[in-house]
Amino acid sequence: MKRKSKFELIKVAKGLSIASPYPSLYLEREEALIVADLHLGLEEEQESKGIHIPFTTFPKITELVLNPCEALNCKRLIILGDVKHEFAKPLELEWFTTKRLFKMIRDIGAEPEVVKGNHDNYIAIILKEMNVKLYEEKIELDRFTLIHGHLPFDQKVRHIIMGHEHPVITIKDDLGVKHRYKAFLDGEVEGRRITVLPSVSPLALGLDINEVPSRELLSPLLKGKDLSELTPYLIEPKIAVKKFPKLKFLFLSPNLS
Amino acid sequence: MLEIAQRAYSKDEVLSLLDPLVAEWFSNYPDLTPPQRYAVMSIHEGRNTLIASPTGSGKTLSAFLSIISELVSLGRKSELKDKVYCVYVSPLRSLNNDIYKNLLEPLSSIKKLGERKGEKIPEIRVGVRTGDTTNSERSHMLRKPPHILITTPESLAIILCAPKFREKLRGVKWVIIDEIHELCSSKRGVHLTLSLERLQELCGDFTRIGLSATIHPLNEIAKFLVGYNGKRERDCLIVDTRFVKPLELKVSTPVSDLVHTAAQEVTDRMYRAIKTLVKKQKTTLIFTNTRSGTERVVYHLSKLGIVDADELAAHHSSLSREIRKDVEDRLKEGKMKAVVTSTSLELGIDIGSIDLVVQIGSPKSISRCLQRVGRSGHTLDRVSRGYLIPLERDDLLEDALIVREALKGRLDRAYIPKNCLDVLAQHIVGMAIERKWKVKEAYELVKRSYCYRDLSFESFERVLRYLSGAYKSLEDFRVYGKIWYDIENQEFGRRGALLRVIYSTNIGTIPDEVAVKVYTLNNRWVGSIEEEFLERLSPGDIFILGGKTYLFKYAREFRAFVQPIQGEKPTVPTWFSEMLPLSFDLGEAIGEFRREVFEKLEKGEREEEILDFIAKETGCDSKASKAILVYIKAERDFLKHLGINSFPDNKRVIVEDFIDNENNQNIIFDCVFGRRVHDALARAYAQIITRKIGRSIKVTVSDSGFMLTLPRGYYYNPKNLVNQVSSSNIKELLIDAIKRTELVKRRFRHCATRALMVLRNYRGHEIKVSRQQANSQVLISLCEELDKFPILEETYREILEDMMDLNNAIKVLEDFEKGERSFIIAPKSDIPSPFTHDLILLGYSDVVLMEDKKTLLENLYDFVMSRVRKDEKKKQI
Repeated sequence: MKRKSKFELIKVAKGLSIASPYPSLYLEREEALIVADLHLGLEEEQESKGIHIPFTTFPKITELVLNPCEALNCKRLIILGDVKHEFAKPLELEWFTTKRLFKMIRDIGAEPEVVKGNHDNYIAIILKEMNVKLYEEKIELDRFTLIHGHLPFDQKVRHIIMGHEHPVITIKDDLGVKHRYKAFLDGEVEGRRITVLPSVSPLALGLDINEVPSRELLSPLLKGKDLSELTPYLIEPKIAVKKFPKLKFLFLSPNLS
Repeated sequence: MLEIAQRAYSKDEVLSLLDPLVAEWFSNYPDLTPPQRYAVMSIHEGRNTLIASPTGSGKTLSAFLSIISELVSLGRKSELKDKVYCVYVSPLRSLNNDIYKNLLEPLSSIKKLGERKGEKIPEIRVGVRTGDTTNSERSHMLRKPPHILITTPESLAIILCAPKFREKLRGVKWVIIDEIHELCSSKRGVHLTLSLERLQELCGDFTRIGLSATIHPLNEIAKFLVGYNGKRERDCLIVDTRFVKPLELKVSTPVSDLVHTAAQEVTDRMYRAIKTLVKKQKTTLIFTNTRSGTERVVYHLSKLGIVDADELAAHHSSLSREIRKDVEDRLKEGKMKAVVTSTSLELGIDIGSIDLVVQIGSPKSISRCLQRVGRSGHTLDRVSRGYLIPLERDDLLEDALIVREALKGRLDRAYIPKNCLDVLAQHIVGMAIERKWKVKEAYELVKRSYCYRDLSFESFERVLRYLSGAYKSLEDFRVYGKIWYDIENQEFGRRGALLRVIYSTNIGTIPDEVAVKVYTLNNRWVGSIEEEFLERLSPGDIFILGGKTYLFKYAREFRAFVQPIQGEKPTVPTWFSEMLPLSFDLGEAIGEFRREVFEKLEKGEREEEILDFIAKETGCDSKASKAILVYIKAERDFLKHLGINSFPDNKRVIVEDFIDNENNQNIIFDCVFGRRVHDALARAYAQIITRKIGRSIKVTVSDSGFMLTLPRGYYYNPKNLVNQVSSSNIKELLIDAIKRTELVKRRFRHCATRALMVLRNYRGHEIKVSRQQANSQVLISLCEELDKFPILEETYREILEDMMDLNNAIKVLEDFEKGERSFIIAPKSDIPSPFTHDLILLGYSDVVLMEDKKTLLENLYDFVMSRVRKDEKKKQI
């Protein structure tokens, strides 16, 4: 009963779409694909903490990044931070896989660019070696400001696109079973328009946005804020993206925010 | 060869075997107990011996007598060396401490006896080594090794890898495994069998002695104890004195009609009945099935004020060790009037003299009932007295049949897990630490254990590949193997200097207790709930904890935040994973008994005759017999009303087509194969339906039936369903059905921890369970893509075989295929039959998820939207 999933653009704002069914956004005018939070080498970091994960995520991550890029024939591929996982100096696997990824992106005719995330302390070395452009804080494109989202950001801008939070939405069905999905979030947060990307890494899941009070969240742009007007787009990567009603309808407990 | 002991030896014969000094000391004992008559000679001759006998029958001494004698003999000849001669393993530290004390006493008496005769006997050292043993005690043990080492399965496995101490084990002559009935049914026991084979590899043949309470079948337990030598099981003499102790069992219900009496009245009357019982005895031991039940009973009994507060106590595994120890000590000293316990006092810790055992509810298996009741009348000549008080209708039948079967000497079969790959992985790491191995040689060693008798070489090899880090998609990397595995030369060995530490700090098979701490929003701690229970909670749910109601707000990393709330009804039933499952054999006995009673009713026998029959067969008092008849008649009348003239028994399963008041179809299977079999059958049938209609199906399971609930608007004809699950397709259906469930995630984490894939302790840090659990859903999906990844294979095996009972489910299905059992399909009804009421109210539910992920997402959307619309409408009004 498996249906083949088709590629489609789901419009979020003028000139900005979700490249469904992938965890990526498409900026039409710039012919740019935006992804966030790849966390390459997470396995290695987990291993150092005593958790042995078979090393199988790299091909999954590249598929999620490269497929939409290729389908849309993008010129730019912008990674909004946390390309790799480790805070400290790159571990062997990270170093290797990160380079391999940039090469693969160029092989399909796109130019990789990186906005620095909180996990990217040592990435400059790799990027320099590969001659990849690194933005310390943000990229301004058209009406959009692209940031990672780990630092406070008070500048007056029209539309922020960010990662870092790895949003997850939990839906409890009519039989009482909980289903967790990664999600895009889009809408007004205290007067600012924000679009949050889900993580690409299959291993990096954040908090359940509709189950946990917003003061528990990571990003200063979301933490403690009223998120009830955000619209989540739930994603089953490579299968489907579905727009859901605003968060205020999905909070499982009243007065969460 | 396995052999049942036939020849009983007299006291004089036994005395003549012993060292004269030991014989003189032992001659003060009264006559031999039955196990001693059979076992001492056998152990003296160096034969492997399994002793199955009730508590208090002198089992322990029958195991140790000839060992003590030989050690004393060696000492007197000045031949006693500084090495371990005897290893004693039990699953309980408290039991270890008891044994330690109980050995010191005879040893010092013998020593004194020698001194009185002017002979100086060298000290026979006894040492306890468990997780509690300090470093200094350990280094002392290394300098002066105990001649008798008392330990736990986990510590034994660690010792086997300790480079210096393992040398002291080379001379081991005897190994005693105590409480083998408890060990054999869990992965702890499986783990132990491999430790024994590794020990045997180290020190050559030794005599294995198993001590067991009442269990069945003894042949299997004996093989579990001794293992195999090549193709043949090693020799073992079985001493069967299981039924030597006189037994008195009674079933009594608080009221004579459990169908129509309010629950409150039933419990009120029960407490009054217990009050009367406790008053009449010196000491009463009361078993409940859950820890929370234990607390509740203590609370109510103390409210009744029948005893002084310090004469009544609870004893269960959530209480601190100090509290438990205190209760045990006071029991031993005869200072307790009543102690209430769940399972923690089942095992053979010395608790002194108990006059009566009261069992509230059903102990769910005949063997467990005998084990519990056997705690009373501690010495052999005293009768063990058990008083069973069922509170639910199904408990009543279970208790009645336990008595009937026990009095006929029929026991339920023990289940022993086999081919556990996670436990195997742990031992392979241990073996690799010892030395370099030829793969074939290690495989042969493993296969000597009864639990790995049929392990395929392919499975064994896959575990090696997993441990060596060969499961990966990145060919370029050779990383993080715990062992190296040279495929070409078929050898393996350890890798990494840290491995020994990792091994000894992560050993064991018991998953970390995941107690989720519960806090109020202002961070006040109010108690703990189980991980499984947390998974079932959603914000807004109301549940009971410690007698108070709370509103669940949210959870973060194994901490749940709640708001106290008063006067609200709980929305989530408090269900505990510790609920014991009904044994398959007892279920069959219940089915058979139902048939007998139904037939009597059909033949028109007089009510008094049937009541007499029930009372005579089952030890039920008049109220309990009446209650059974009321229950069975209610079912019969109901089915007759539906036009059905067959009844749910051991040959027929009634399939009910129940449409509930929310207009959902529920297909109910009315049978008593026990929850473990029902769980397997239910999910397999649900998988058939979900494949057909493409929607998720809810399953509800209890010991007396299972139920499939379809989403509204769907209908599946039971006639077309019942034959679609067969003995050949059930396994495949089940694996599909459990994929992506919370159950798999949780069990996967346990298996991954046992297989050292996820460490609990690393580089001196304890790794939080939350991190162990982190992303286990993701980990599983990664593992699913690998070819037969051993940890995932083991997770499925554990769920299908250990948690559920796939083997008996297959057996049942074969019976249907052969026509030995049949399905009777009942017509649609908006009322379920009386036999299924407990299932509907108290059953445990789970869901078999639909497979199409895209449709699932769309269905969830529709569901959310319909709720949103409803809310909007409410607001408008």
